[in-house]
Amino acid sequence: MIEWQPIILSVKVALMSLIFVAILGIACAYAMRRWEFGAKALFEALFTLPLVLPPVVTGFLLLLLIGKRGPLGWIFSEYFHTKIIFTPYAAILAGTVVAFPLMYQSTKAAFQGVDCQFEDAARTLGASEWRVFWTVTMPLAWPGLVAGLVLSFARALGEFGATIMVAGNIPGKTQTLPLAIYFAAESNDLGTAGLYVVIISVITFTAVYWLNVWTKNRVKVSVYRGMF
Amino acid sequence: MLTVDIIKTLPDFRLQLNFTVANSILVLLGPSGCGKTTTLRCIAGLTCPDDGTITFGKEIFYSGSNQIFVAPKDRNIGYMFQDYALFPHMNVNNNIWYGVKQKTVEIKQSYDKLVELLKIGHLANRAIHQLSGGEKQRVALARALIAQPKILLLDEPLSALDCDTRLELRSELKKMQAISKIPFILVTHDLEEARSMGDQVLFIERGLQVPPSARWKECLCGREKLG
Repeated sequence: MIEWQPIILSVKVALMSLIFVAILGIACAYAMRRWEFGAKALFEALFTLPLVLPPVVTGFLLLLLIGKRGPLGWIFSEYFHTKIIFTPYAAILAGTVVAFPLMYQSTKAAFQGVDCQFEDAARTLGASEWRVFWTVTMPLAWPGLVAGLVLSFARALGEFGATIMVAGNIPGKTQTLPLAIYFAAESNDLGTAGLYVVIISVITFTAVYWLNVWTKNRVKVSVYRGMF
Repeated sequence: MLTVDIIKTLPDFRLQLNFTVANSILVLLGPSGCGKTTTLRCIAGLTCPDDGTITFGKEIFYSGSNQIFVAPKDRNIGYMFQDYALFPHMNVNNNIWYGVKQKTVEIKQSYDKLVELLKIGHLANRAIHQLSGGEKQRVALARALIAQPKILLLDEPLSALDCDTRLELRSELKKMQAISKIPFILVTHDLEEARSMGDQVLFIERGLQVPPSARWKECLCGREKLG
């Protein structure tokens, strides 16, 4: 009999991470496109770092941040009398950090694909930057954003290295699907591990397949509309 | 009266222009890359000049010395882009109404009048991709004018159209200017268009106003020979 808790927790963690990833990814991509500043190349490299660093290294850095003696860990312990480390919140944080570069890169590419003339036209028609963003930039960048969301969800769902460093492997509390697979395989319970592998594969495959079909249909509509 | 006195350093030359325009059509005429579009963008507030002033009556849109820069949304200057920049994800109606903050009775009357004058009533629910070049031009003009701008800037508005449509729309633009009684600033590199449209023509070469030289006459002759 398989435990459903790791599956439910993984989906919850991935969805919660997705909310943070979406907000941060869109905000950072927009800021990097809109404003010029000296340290832009530095931020660009920082935003891409979790994509190229081994997840265990990312996890270690997060451990330094949210551990008992880490600045964030200390603030939570001192002012809120709680901790993030070895809780599902740490898994959400790990998922957010590792999935962020995918959302950021997809959103940045999507924003760069929006012709500035449409935004300028909106400005000359009296629209505030906020209105330009919501009524022109976002609708035109939407396909790239959706791609970023799907990839980020899949990445957060499959996160292992950083999660084990900061959330640990507490069954029923912080054990996500990839951790459950690893520990089931390690204890030679290949049946359970295989079942979990099938479940996570089906979820991620469905998400990516849906994205491909959606993008293909959208391109067809756009070609018909003469947008390309 | 719009007064423009701006300096802007561009990669290849320095744009330095000084002109005024009352309620008439001013044509900025010059070869591609001479700074015409940059001038329009400076007036609209989409590009910031390096120095100078842009005023409309008593209203200051830009003053380098006083560090005043009014954002494009607060200038109330209509801008028709070269390829119209109609929002592809909205239909014609939503494009036209985009710049209207409150649909008052007066605005609704103005909409009916514009739609009738520009003959675009039957296009209201169409998607942008379903429009011809001439229809797009008319919709873009309606979108710019319904927001009741103080000035209308037109960046090569007829360049993408065929000859017949161009001739038809030239007279429509002149008619719209006569009705709206606001300054129109039109950018073109076509001497014939400048002659037929402009109440005033400003010749620009490499960012500077120049007298109508023999070169322009040569250009026209050359074009006629080619044609």
